[in-house]
Amino acid sequence: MKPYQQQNYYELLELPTTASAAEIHSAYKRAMELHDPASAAMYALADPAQIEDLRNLLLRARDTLIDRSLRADYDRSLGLPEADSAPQQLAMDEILWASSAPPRPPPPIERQGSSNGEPGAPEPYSAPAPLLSGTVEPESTPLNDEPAPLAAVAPVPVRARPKEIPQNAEFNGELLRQIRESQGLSLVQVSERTRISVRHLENVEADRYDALPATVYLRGMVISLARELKLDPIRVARSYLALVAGAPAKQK
Amino acid sequence: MLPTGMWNSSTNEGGVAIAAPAAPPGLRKKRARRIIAVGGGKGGIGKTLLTANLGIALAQRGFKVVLVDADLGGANLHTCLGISQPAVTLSDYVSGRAKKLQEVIIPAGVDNLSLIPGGRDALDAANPKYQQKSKLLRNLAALEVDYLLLDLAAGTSLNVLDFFLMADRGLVVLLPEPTSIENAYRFIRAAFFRRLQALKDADGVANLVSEAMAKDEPALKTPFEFVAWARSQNPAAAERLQQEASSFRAGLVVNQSRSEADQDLGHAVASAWKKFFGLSLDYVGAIGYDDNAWRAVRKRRPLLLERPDCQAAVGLLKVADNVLALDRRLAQVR
Repeated sequence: MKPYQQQNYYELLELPTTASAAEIHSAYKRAMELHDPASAAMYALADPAQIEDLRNLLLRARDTLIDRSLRADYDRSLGLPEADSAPQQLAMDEILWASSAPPRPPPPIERQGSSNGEPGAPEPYSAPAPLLSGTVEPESTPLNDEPAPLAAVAPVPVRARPKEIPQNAEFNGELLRQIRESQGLSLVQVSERTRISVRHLENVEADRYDALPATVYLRGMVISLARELKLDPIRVARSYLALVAGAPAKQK
Repeated sequence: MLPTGMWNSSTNEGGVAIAAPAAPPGLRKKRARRIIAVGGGKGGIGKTLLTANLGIALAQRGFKVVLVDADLGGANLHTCLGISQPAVTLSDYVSGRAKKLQEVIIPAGVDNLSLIPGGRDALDAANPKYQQKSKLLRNLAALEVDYLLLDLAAGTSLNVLDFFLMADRGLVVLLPEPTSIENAYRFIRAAFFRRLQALKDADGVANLVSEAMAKDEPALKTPFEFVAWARSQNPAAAERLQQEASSFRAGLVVNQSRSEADQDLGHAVASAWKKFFGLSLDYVGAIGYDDNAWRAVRKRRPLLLERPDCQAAVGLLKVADNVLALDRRLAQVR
């Protein structure tokens, strides 16, 4: 069993890797219903940032898996064998789904504003536009069913940032601090918005890895922080946790 | 399949003709006894209602069942079954006044069903000494029955947790309200860490557990976090802990559900445990909110005998079916 942060898209949606698009849609719908932040089951066990994080992951999981080429890329990244039947199946599903809903643009890597948006309202599939609530303008929904040009856009983060960050930047604490300051945010402000204590934030920015909580916990924190700073949460978390893992062994 | 017989009669379906060994094949061969503990941390959530009626449902299916009122401080399982204060109770056995466990087993008014009633007022017995307790657990487990059902006290005291952990299957009852859900979380968490504590192992597992307990860091509050932390300390021991976490299974029963959303709550809780916490829960069913349930309690009659067709009774029967289905699956794995 793995924490949700370590689950792949199939595990998150609790689907076999051969799942059809229809199955993906209904698994997503079901998962969003179950992991509703307003549900007493969630509120007692997970903090709101975690639930929001999970919901974002579920959304990304669905958006990736229902897109044939994104899914193929993703499957390859998981090391899944390229199934002969799956793409066939998917193609059929796409036709089926195309009749009930227009295809829509691929998800941007980042979702600015999603943490301030309405977390309780999962987007119905048939309404593509409201999905993108932030500054990323929804592309005009093309009515052709050619997914290729859309897929090409997907992997590239498209947003301009207040501070220019190189593609291969290493997100250490110092860089995170600079980015935060360049956006005019104080530690207290970030703390209030992410609900991470100022002490933890200071430790993250000072790269005091020994003082940081367990990785599972830390990852959620870094993701929340990155989102607040309008960075790609996954990329930042990966980069930061790699630094933590590579740091000299803790003396404990 | 519903019983037609009246309370205290032996004319329920199957009647005396079904002897204990007639339990369904596949179960009896693999293992003679199964122990089910019913807990949930909070009081007044229907633990006793579930124990009594689950026992009746299993007995009606031909299993030989003994109910144990393990709530030594506040026993009332007998009342739920319509039995007046018994002359001998589990307290007599724990305190040594009754020499053999068999002496405190009384018929429960339904074929195949017996009861070990809980204590009257012996508050000292509510906290039996460790040796008394382990003797009790051992002898309970040795009873020649198909199902042993333990009705646990509220709270997360060590005695409650140890009864819960001796069971093959722990059922956690919760009501669709935040307080009850929180208590259920706390209860399962406490039970899990109690089980880890009991691991006597050369791998240093015990050390890790007590170290983590002493730290009491919020960051170690879930098995996920605990295992991740343990991995940084002692990878071999962490592996063992991981196994414990993945083999720990409890069942979940939602009582007094009033809406479809409440039924979904069971799935949501199970999913939250898996995604955020790191333990598997089997959702075994919901018992609908039903005035007949409290009416039956007032009449001191088990619901399954009083109103076998009412909504809550149907839910209880479904829970019994699901428990049996889970046991069959378990038997296949073993």
